[in-house]
Amino acid sequence: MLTEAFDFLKETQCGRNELKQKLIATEKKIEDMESMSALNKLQKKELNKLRDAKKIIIEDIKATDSDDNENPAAYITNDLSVYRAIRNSISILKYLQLMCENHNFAS
Amino acid sequence: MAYLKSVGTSDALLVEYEREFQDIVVYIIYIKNKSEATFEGTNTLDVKDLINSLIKISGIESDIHPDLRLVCLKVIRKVVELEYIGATDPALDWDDEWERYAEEIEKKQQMLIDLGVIDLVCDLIAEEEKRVIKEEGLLVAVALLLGGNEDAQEKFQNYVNNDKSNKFLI
Repeated sequence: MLTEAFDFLKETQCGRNELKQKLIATEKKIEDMESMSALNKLQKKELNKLRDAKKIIIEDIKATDSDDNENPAAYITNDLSVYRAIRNSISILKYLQLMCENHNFAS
Repeated sequence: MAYLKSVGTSDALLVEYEREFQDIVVYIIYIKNKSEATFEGTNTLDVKDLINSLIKISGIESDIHPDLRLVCLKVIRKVVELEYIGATDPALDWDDEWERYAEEIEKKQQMLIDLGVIDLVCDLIAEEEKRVIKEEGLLVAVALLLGGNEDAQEKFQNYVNNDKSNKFLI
């Protein structure tokens, strides 16, 4: 369970980092185009495309967020979400911590 | 439809649902007094009998519906957690305040451990295919180990030592 949660988080968070880099690059391109004094028809079309792409990237980033309002009672499949994977990891780490409780020797 | 959706997301309704569930568990915990009064001592039920039945019907080899297995585990977990008066969250989310009820919690942990809940929980975490049941099993495990219950620690360790297939928590 911990491995699954870790793999899922690694995959989604690496994807999130890539998306954030893409967002920065897209925003830079938009900024550059917006700072140009006059845009021709083709450039205007390109700018609109970039703005649309930015919206899509922001939506994709949202999908990799941890939704703290997620209700575990609503889980009906085995699919993980970011929140669920984090919660599973916390449960297992808490379990391991409690297995060690009262066995801490003072140095 | 919007109302049904709101039932799943409304915090107030979720708390209300949790309270109702807790009322049922309180009824189960005090079933001895209730059944004694109702049947005038001719058919008295004990909470241990009920927990034993829950353990049997929710075991890994039973073909009980997954939703019911989940409810059985939740009832078992609540037997411990209800000792922390006013808490509706799982023990996993508790702060140190629970220690005020440590003595009562330990008594309930001991009762469940003696009834064999740990083998049930370990079997379900290791073998069950539904993630939601494994997750509930983990919450029960945390409730049983709270405070570092040494009997619970020993029983979990014994299970892991004998888990030749390495399925538990992997």
